[in-house]
Amino acid sequence: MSVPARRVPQVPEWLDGEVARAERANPPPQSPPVPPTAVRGTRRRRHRLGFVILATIIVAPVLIGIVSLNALLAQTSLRIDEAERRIEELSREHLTLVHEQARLSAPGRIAAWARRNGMRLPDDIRSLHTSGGSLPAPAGEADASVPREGEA
Amino acid sequence: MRRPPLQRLIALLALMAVAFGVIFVRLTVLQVSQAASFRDRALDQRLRRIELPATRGQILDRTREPLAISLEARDIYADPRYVRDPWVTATRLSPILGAEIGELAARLTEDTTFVYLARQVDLDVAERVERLRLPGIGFLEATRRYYPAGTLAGQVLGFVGIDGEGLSGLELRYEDLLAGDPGERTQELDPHGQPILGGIDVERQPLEGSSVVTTIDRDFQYQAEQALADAVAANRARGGTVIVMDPRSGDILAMASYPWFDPNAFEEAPPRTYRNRAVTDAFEPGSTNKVITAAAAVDRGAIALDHVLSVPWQMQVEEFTIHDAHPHGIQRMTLSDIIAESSNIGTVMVARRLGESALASYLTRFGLGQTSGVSFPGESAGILPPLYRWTETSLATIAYGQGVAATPLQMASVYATIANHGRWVRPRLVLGTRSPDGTFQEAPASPTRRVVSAGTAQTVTRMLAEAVRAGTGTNATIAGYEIAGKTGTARIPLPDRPGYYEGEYVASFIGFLPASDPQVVIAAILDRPVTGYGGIAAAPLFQRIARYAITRLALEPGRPLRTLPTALPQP
Repeated sequence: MSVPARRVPQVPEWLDGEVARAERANPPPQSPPVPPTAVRGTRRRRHRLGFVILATIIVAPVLIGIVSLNALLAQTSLRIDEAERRIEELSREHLTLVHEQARLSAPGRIAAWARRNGMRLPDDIRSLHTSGGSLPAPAGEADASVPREGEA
Repeated sequence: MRRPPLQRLIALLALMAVAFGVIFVRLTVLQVSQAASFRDRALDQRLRRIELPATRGQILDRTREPLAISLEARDIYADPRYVRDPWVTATRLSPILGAEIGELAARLTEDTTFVYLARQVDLDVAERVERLRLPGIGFLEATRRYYPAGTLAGQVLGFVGIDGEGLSGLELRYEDLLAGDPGERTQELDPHGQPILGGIDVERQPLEGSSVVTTIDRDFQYQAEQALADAVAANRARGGTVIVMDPRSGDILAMASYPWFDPNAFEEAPPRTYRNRAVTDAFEPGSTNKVITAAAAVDRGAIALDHVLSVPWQMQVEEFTIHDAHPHGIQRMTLSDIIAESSNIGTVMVARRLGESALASYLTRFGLGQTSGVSFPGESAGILPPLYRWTETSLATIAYGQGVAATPLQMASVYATIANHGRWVRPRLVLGTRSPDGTFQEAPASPTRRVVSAGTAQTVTRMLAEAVRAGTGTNATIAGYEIAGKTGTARIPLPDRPGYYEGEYVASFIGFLPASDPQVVIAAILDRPVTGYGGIAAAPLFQRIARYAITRLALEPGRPLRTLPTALPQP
């Protein structure tokens, strides 16, 4: 009677080396053999956990960084937009003021306003000549040429 | 089954090889040798280039007050392909743009992809149109030229066309400086005309034009214009010109010609009003030209100052009879008396002593017959007949200012030369330029040349002062100030044949003050005033402007000049 050949559990090729290393480090106990399916599940869970932790450590900060950077850029972009809008507004306001100032300071407008308020240019010009070449004394000061009261 | 003949297969193969060869060659040509060209053409189809207008530089007066500025505006256009209902669109736009509905609708139905609906509209008007959100209506950035003082110095400033290019005056002369460099926005569009996201979108910013700082004093210009308008009305003249000039620097402080126009609405004014007559129109100066004869005679020593001539009231020269303005017996006159009384016959007698060659030389040295170099578009050189064409009559008439033509600016320059101690200074209208960053670059000083000696200029000034004190120019006097000047009453030549209009004159008065230290030259000229004479029509105009000059420029009276020998009885 022939006995069917016992199937050796298949290990993926990429794990061959790892398994071998693990076996060398921890020789399998001489305890009763554990069923192969249970060993495989534990290892898989362990690897998945490692992967998840690794992914979390690497990916999460990257994701957070990207999101933060994006938010920062968006915020800066908004600020730039706002500043540009403000510059445009102020430029327009400046131009309006220049226009207004130019219009209001036109000599014709000022002259018309002055006429309405009873102002006019002088009809004649009178030049005052000082005699003797000396300047008149400032107001309030006594004229030295006039004798003071009590003086001889 | 019968197999195809081998020859057929070979022929078919050869044919296919040739066909593929042709395709290969064509592909090679398209993809390699002509690739760049086709790529550029394809790109060109996708690109739209929009010109970004540069802000035009300002024109400022000498105190940096604005005479011409540019304001932001919008051009409104339509792409009729995208206009859904032209009549509804036109009806909604009409009240905002102030255009006829029919006219707008006609434009909106044109078989084109671009049509202007309004040019250079104010921003608030553009915003009102934008709020309507009409399909097919677009906006372009533009600027609008604005002259805040309206008609003030209109002919000097000139104006710009609808595309913002200078068409006359300083706007034309300094177009290169004022215009700046327009920018450009290049966008890559899809077949529907929409920008491709991530496609080419490049913008080159426009460079603002430089500003031109003129020598014009805005307030002085206004007062000169007011005085001119009043004088034209009071004397019922057809027009007039005023020039105010600094004789030392050649700076023109005011330059006005009546009738004038508003450059903000130049289309509504008659084109003849656009001319800056002070520079573009030549007139026969009449007696104001006698100053050149007198200066030449003194400079050449043709007549002593105390020499007395016996001057009749009329004289025969070739077939013509020339005479003084008023009949008189034979009068004993010195050169100073001749100028003061503006005697034509006396001037002719002096000119004969001087000789035609010397007179022609001095006329040229004073700047007649050549442009002044003020660098203004359309400047006239006047008319000075070449010496070889002079006759005895030419010598006589040119000596007192007929048969020769000069612009008001040329005549003002003649008096400025006397006022500037015999040195001619080229008149100028521009002090310098101001770049967009505010840096002022001063124009080089005007070139000068010696025309007569300082002594001659001083002597002629004393003659001119006498003309105002006791001669024909008494209406120009201002108490406390000594003014030097000369009246002119010139006949007007007929345009189509030899001869002059009867009873029509150009009245003028040109002078300067204070006579002892001249700081301002004023030329006042009226075209065909009913009052006729320069001493009556133009001298009061000079006086009014001179009075303003005293206050505006803070002129001191100066010292009185010594009088010259006279043979006339003194009052």
